[in-house]
Amino acid sequence: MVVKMKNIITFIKMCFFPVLIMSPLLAKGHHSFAMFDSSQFMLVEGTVLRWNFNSPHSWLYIEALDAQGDLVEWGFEAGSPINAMRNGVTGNTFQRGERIKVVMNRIRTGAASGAICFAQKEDDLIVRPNNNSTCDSVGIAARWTEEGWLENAAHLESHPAN
Amino acid sequence: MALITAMNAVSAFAQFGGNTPALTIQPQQNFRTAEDHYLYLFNQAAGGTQHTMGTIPVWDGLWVAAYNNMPAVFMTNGTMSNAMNPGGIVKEGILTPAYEEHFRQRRTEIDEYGEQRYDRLTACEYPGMPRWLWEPYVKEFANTPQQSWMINDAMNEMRRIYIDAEHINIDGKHSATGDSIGFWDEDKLIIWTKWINAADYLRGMPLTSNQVELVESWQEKTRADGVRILETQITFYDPIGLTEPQSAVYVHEQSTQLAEIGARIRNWECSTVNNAYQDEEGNTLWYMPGDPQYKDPRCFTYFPDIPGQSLDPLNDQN
Repeated sequence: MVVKMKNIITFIKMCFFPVLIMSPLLAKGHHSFAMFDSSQFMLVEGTVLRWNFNSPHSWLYIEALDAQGDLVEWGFEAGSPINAMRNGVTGNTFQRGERIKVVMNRIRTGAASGAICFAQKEDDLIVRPNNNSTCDSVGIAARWTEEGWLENAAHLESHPAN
Repeated sequence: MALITAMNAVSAFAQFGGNTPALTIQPQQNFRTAEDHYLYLFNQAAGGTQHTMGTIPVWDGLWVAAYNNMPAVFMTNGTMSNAMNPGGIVKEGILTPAYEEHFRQRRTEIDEYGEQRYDRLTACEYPGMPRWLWEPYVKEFANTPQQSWMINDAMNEMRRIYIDAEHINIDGKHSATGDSIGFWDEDKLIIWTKWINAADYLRGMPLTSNQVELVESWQEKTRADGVRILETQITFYDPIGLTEPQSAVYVHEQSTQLAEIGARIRNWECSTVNNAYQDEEGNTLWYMPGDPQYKDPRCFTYFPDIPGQSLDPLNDQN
């Protein structure tokens, strides 16, 4: 599975290399991203409630267990639709009820929220609805795959960005 | 000044792999006002080219902002990457004292917090001119002999350029994109814009005053890699914000990738879906499900009990 994922990541890197070069140009959204802790990436595993593919930023809502075993609704800010489309993401990318793993920069307030970097679906497909300037989702997904964190990290486990 | 600007342009050019042949072209003279500049160009063009629908330049397709060297006007290390991130070094004497002081405060906040903590666009304010030129979404351009329309995905913000016309302001007020008139000089569209709202060049960049006026020259070119680009040479005239006029270049490039994947510009829904706000400490935050102010763009309807009112009929989650 790891080999398969590495091949997929390599393919994605090739496809989106021009995007990486241009990433400073894709730029940030209509608001500041200073409220996110970009030094850490956290994994949240849960079930999709809603995928709002809207301008100016898309939002993914999932339901996940907290440390006490209670269900909590998490909201993750994603990129603008037009930028997410460049990563192959559409309004149908996430379906209600599907299980996913989300890797994101959590909001500094500690609320159940953050900026999504990438997500992994049940069939291991990695999707990147992120804002390209706030997260190198190709690089971060490759690192999480190579380190084995996507397979082994526990729900709500964090790893440093660098 | 011209040499410095050119060097800054070259520096910024290099960061994108040398693929963008965009250098600032300084005005032919040191014009005192935008009007002087525009009239000079108008006379140089002998009153301009009278295009028909058969001869007017066609800028079809989807376009994205690709490059600009505006940050180099205001920072010694001014690149688009540095514009929003810490480490920017403010150039002295470009801005008037009040505007330079504000810019320094803005840069200090970026150095302290990693980014400007709140952007005026957060609550769906229009980018306006000149920030419109940079906004990183998608644009379309339609030229007719009487008007040119410049359509930005972001905030549905559209510029209208009235060709061979005079400035008119029966509204008695300024607006985000101001009032734009223009003329064609062969394949170049020359534009003079005035009556613009006070705003900013970009998040992390200086403010503009409500007296800013702009002279632009738009021209389609083909880059070395074969990509169609629209190059915009612009001079900022701001007697309140700038000690003297400043010039920069912006580039849009055609995005064939977006066309191939079927992307189309949809209505920007900011005011109905945006949950971001500024908290009491000046930080950007957002409302979440459960907050009374939270807006759920897909599930919202004023009439949940009436069939066919959902905003999400394809998935209907109501």
